[in-house]
Amino acid sequence: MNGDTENPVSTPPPDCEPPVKFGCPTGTMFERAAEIGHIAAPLADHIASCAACRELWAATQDDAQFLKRARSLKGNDLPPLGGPRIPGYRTLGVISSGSQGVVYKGVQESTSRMVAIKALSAGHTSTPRQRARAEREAEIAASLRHPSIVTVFESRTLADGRIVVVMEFIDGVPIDQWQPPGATPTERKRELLRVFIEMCAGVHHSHLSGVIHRDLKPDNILVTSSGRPVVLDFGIAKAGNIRTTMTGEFAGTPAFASPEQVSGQPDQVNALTDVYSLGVILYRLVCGALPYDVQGSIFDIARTISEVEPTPPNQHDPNISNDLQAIVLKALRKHQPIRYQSAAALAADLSNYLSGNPVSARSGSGWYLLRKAVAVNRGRLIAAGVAVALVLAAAVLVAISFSRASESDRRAADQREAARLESVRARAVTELLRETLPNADPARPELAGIISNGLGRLYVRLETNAFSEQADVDQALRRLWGSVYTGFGGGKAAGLVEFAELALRNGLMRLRREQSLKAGVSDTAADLQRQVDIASTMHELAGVLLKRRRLPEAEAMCREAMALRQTVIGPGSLAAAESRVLLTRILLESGETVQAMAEADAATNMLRKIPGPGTDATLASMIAVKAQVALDNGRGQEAEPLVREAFVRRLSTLPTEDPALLESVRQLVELAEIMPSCQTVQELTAAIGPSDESLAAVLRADLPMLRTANRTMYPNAVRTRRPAALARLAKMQMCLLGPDDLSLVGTLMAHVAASEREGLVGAPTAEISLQAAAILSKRYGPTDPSQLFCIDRASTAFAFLGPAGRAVELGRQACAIFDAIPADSRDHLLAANSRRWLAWYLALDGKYEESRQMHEAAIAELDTVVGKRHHVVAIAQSGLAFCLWHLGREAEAEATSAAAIELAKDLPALPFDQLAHIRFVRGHILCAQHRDTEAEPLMLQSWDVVFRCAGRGFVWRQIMIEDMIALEQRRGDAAAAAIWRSQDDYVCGLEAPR
Amino acid sequence: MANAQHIFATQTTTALLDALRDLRNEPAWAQIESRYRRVIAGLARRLGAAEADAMDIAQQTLAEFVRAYKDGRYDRTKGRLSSWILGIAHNTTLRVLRNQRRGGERMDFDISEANGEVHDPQLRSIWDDERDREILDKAMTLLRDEASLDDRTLLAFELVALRGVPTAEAASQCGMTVDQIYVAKSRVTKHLRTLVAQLTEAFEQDA
Repeated sequence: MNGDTENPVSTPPPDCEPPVKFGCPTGTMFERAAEIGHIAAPLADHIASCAACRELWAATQDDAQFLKRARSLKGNDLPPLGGPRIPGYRTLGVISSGSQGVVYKGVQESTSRMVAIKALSAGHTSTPRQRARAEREAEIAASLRHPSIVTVFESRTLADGRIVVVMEFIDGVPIDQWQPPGATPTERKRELLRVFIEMCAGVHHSHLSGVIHRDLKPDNILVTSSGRPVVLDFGIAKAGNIRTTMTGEFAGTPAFASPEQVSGQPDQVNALTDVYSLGVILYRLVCGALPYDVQGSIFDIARTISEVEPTPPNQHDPNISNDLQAIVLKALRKHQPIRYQSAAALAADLSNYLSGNPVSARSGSGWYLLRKAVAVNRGRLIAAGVAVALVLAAAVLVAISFSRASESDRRAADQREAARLESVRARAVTELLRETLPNADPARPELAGIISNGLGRLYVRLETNAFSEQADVDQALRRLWGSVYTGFGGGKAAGLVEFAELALRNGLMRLRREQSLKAGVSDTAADLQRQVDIASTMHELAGVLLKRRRLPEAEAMCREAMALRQTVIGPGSLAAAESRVLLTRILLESGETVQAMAEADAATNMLRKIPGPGTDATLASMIAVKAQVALDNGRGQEAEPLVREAFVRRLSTLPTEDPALLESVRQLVELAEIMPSCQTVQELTAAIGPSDESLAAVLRADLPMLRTANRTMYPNAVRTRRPAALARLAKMQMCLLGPDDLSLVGTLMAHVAASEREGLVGAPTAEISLQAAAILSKRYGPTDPSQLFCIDRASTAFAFLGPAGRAVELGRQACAIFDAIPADSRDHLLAANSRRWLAWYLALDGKYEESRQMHEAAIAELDTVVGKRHHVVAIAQSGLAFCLWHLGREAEAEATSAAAIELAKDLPALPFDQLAHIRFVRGHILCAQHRDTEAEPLMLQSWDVVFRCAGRGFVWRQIMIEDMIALEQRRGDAAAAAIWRSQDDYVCGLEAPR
Repeated sequence: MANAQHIFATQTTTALLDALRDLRNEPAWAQIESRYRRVIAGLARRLGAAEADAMDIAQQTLAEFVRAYKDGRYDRTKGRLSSWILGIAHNTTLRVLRNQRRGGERMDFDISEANGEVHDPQLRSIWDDERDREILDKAMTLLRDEASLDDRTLLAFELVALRGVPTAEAASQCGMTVDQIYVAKSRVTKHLRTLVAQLTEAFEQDA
């Protein structure tokens, strides 16, 4: 098949003169001659006499031989250039070609409309299984209908086994080559983002139908001249993607692939894979480059995609705002659970960005969680984290109020009361920070980033005298910042420790300058307070230096602070003891164990003389230090009571994720290893119940589970052993502190929250909530409102998972608690809302008449408190409409549901899950009237945000699926009906307990 | 013309084998696979294997090559890679066909028997046909990346050169004159022959 002779056909041979003069034929004439295999006499004569033409003729004949051989090799096999022959269509030419096949432009003969015909390469469908799969995918792709998804008209299997897909012909350009309209760069950028958002909606639509693209890239997203984005190759991409190399590795153009794709984890390829690819595309559109360098071998590329963090977009273009950068980077998270959880969420955040609203990418999940918690007081999911920004704001406010209060109280010369207030407020701030500042977590660098940003801003304000008029506030803020490092161990991801040091040193300088200026002025109280402040600042500075591991400086600073506190506040004061505790930690870090032990003993003795919950954590930390030294030296008997005491004190005061509590669990592990037969280990082994493994092994495995709060949330949760670990912690707590200890409530509810986040909701979690309620009831009485929170969680669990009867029972109990509160101190909004919940449970349980009455009572009560325009009223109206419909009062139901949705339209406080219920009810009633086009969007919106995540036992979910099946059947779309039918067995990828 | 696909496809087999000294050189493995899989499957089909079996035989043969290479059992001094692969493919096919005749009874087969040159001219000729077919396919794929060839030129070539559509008809389908069709055919043929020559050389430079 070789041959490489020059054959210029359009011009005569170069060494010939022009043909007219000398009679040299054109190349075309040679071609014609070769085609008929015969050369006319005059031409033959010329060739015989012209060397150049002889050569040309020989080359033409070679070409003809070559082509003959090519035809014989290809036989009936259509060449890859060749368009498929499909009855009813005429193939015009090749539009594009790729690894999966070739796309041809064609015309549907009956309608003359332009179509694109994609022929999947035979290699991708060579086995019957692959073929069946490809056919199925093509069918699903054909069922997708969305303006941003290319419409597939039909798919066929050709005689040669190739599958062809006939689709809408899109006359557009790839999104990264599209020139958006607009007069300024900003306008063009906004237009580009608008188109991107529109395209995300199409991707999301397809995900809802269970179709994942898997190969999103700019070439697959065309933008038409009217600015409409269209995603190509849905489903087909998946069908075509059945190819791996012989070593089973990913084989494709991986620039837009996700970490889970390139690292060969096909079981993790899901809708979030497309979200990642959308992130890469967005990055490219925004920055004009790829997020990382994808040069090198496939191994290098896979490693890059799996491990290398994207270059921050503003390094490409400093004009890119922090909000947009945060959005891009969130879409590109390597770890699925911290990525956007849907294409719609990405689009929504981009819309927020365009409209100037806060973007979720920068506030973590806090805004959402907080909004839910505040709005209805009974979210189904407990927030494990709170918006860090809000925390910082709250901390600052508390600090300011603390400072102002102490100022006014000093003026009142009531030093004692001021000290008490300071202590209480400082404790409140400490608890707030303890619960909300995250532990250092390499998987969530964004938290440290958020805090760093906040602290960075605060630092600038502090050093530019923003608080110069309120010197106390200025100092309080500086110390509060330092206490993050001294107060909660070293594990807090608080960021910017170096600026904390600067802030404290500058603060110290200000205090000392003030002290020297005021020297000689006789104001003993003020002077004393300044000394106290200086000591406190030095104490916090020592803590920061410890964090920075500058140990000799830390020790000197700490000793100075301790001496000053002993002199000014008193040798037995809590402040002096706290400095001694810090000194112990510094000495221990320095390897001065003997000295550290002496200080620990002294600190423990001091703290034991200062009773109160405030000292518990500090005392526990000293006891734990002593326990650790005993454990390190293998002195198990000495260690046992210390480990136990530290654990008990921490269990009764600290939240379950606190690093100090976990340190105690780790000490228990060590104790169980060296003293498996000691009493504490035996008791705890019995408490956690039978296990094949030792207590040490079980708790060692539990530690990482307890340390890492659930980062993901149902329905995208990753299942972990965290709920089980928390259950064991609760059992140990019960064993050591008794079954009625109040601190148990926190652990039990943490267990419930962890289970709910992982989708393990059901009767067991509901029962645990009720166990917590029982502890509160026993302690504070059966009608104490503190148990409402636990009861609410249990009732909501039963409502969403069935049986609704239990929810009704608990709803009645909650109403009874409200009724027991005297009317003049009752919060009527909460009370009415509680009645509304009960009414909803009754509706779910099919008790429509009682539910109707309860709804009407709730609406009447709400009317007296909040009037008619309130989101709770809208929800109640909606529930009422549902009951009316099922009671046969259809006209009233129609009017009420329409009113509810109208009211809901402009109530920003309405939580989205409640909005989903309102839409569902409206959709249900419209559907029953066969007003399908109005019903469908409402239903789909509800499904998307709430119903698809609810359990199978959730009555409204079942009703909605039935409605949608009926709707699709009326429309004659059997495939869509089948998809809905299949949803009955599918709950967001997680198997909820039946 | 020098895109990545083209560069890989025209790397000599010798260079690929050198590159495989780094066992993690995935592109080199992929290129070996892409070069031989369909050829082996084609050979197996021509020897009587069913379609699905032919793909299995190709997989088994390539897997054996990977194992042999990684274990150091493949000795480059003993013969050309294509002969080695042809030997394995031939024996694997025979084994599959024999097993089918014996109703699926498993036959032990020492793959090492197959190492060495294959001298059967008929077998060699089948192999060469399949190789040429593969090269032609690859060349046509590469052809599409030729920036100098537009779709219309390619379609014209396809119609007249490969499908035997009369020139006048092709001209009307492509919206070109007959002369333009001839020019197109000639230009594309020239490109195709160049590519086929490069690919054949790459394939065969193997020792």
